[in-house]
Amino acid sequence: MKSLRFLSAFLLILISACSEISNSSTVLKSKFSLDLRKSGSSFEYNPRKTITREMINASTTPLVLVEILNSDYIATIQSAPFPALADVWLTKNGKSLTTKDGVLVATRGFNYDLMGADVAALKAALTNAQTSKQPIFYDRSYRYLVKDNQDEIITVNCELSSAGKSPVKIFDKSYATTLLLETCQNKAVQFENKFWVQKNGLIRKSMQWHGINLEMILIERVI
Amino acid sequence: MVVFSAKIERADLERYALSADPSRAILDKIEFSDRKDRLEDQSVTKPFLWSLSPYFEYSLFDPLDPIRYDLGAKLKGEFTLGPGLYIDGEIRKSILGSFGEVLRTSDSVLPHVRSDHPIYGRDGDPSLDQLAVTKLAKFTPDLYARLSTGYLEKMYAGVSGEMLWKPVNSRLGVGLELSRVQQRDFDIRLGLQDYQATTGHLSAYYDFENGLVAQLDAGQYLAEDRGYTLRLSRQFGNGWEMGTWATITNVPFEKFGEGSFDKGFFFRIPLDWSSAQLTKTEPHIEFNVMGKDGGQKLNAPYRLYNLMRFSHSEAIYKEAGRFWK
Repeated sequence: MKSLRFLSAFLLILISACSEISNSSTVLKSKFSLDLRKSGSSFEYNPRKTITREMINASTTPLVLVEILNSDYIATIQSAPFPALADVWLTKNGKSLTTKDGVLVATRGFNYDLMGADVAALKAALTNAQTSKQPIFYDRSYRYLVKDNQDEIITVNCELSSAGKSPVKIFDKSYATTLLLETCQNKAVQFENKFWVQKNGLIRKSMQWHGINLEMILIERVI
Repeated sequence: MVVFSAKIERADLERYALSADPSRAILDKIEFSDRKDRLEDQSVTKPFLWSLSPYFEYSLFDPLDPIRYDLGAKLKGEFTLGPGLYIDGEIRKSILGSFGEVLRTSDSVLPHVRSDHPIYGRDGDPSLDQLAVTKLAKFTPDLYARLSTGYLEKMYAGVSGEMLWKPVNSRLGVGLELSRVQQRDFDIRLGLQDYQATTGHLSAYYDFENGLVAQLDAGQYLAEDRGYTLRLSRQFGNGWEMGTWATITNVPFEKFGEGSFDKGFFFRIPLDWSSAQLTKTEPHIEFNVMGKDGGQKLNAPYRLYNLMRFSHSEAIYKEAGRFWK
């Protein structure tokens, strides 16, 4: 039975992996007329190597690049084509990230999903931190779905401060941004989020903590 | 079947959908109520459901072989013929076990309503464990009904009717079941034996906190003995369920045989991980002690309380975190 479960899990992962690559290829192919399947049997897919600035400039559909740093997951994801309470970034096979003004508030379809997060205090702090010379302190909470279909809510104490000007380059285009560092902790966890924020308040690039399993997620606002 | 109504304000959904507030916060805003009408669900979205899952049975305390078991596969199917109208079938095939030889025949002085179980295990492979038609209906906003006929379970065929009163916001439910059944042949195919019985119970259910449910039955059992059963069970949010029961009837202890009265325990373990796609819900392994003839109940399909308890407000609160999934 154990070997059967292992085989089932392996096949499921294989099917999932193939569909993810295939779907991503379809999206980008229709968008950028790209053929992402490389020669040989490898399904290696890295949007950083396959998407060019010319392709990005030719599109107006909002697009983010998402990378889970403790795994090999990397994808370019377009905004969902339906009205929503926040910005929903939806893959063809149903995974999604939801952000509010660039701040991660939820995921679906990943293991250990983030069901919701309070970000009002952070958003206010991000607005003020660019001009404030003093750190800003506040609390944040994250809600997860855990065993027995119950909530697990993690609350952390955070401090946001500016690290000064820090330009970022995304697909060969430079953006003038200010780097804001958010350090958060409680008795069980400690992490540091980074936000590269443009003068108009747009978070062009960020590294945000998702939870104790996926840990840090890199989000780059490509379009 | 439409069980209840839930009224949710859009503003509440927008407020809590992406927040870190506990899921119970949105449930507190929902107005649960019994359906005012008797409408049945007209949307038959899945006219055929099936599942293939393992089964495991055992018998204990046979002096010649204290632990006997049977492990195999069961294929279940459910056709939906219309709103609340179902045909259910179940076929089993033993793969491994020690039920192939009857080491000791029953010496029970009661009608052999369950004690011939080893003979069914020996002669019924493969077996048609169930082939029954069931109609579910709703008479009033909180009064449900069931009528089943056919090969109701492994050992009995017949007709079984049930009514259940269970308001959506009440912890208490009251049910009445009445069945007329005839014992099936040992090969568990289409034939019947001569033994017939009328069995039925008045049941009270109470849903305590933390998934604990108490059930008290009073009535007539398969051997037409009369008495009471107290059953306690607890279900956890992940679907696991465990419980115990005891039955006292008017069968004297010495006539009942070894053990004096019927009692036992069970586990229900969800096995949805064993299927790559969604099929018939709630496959499970059940451990039951079966053996004596006193205090034995019919295993009728679609018992109403088991259907309704997961569709009521208390059950929804127990799995509050799933609301947003």
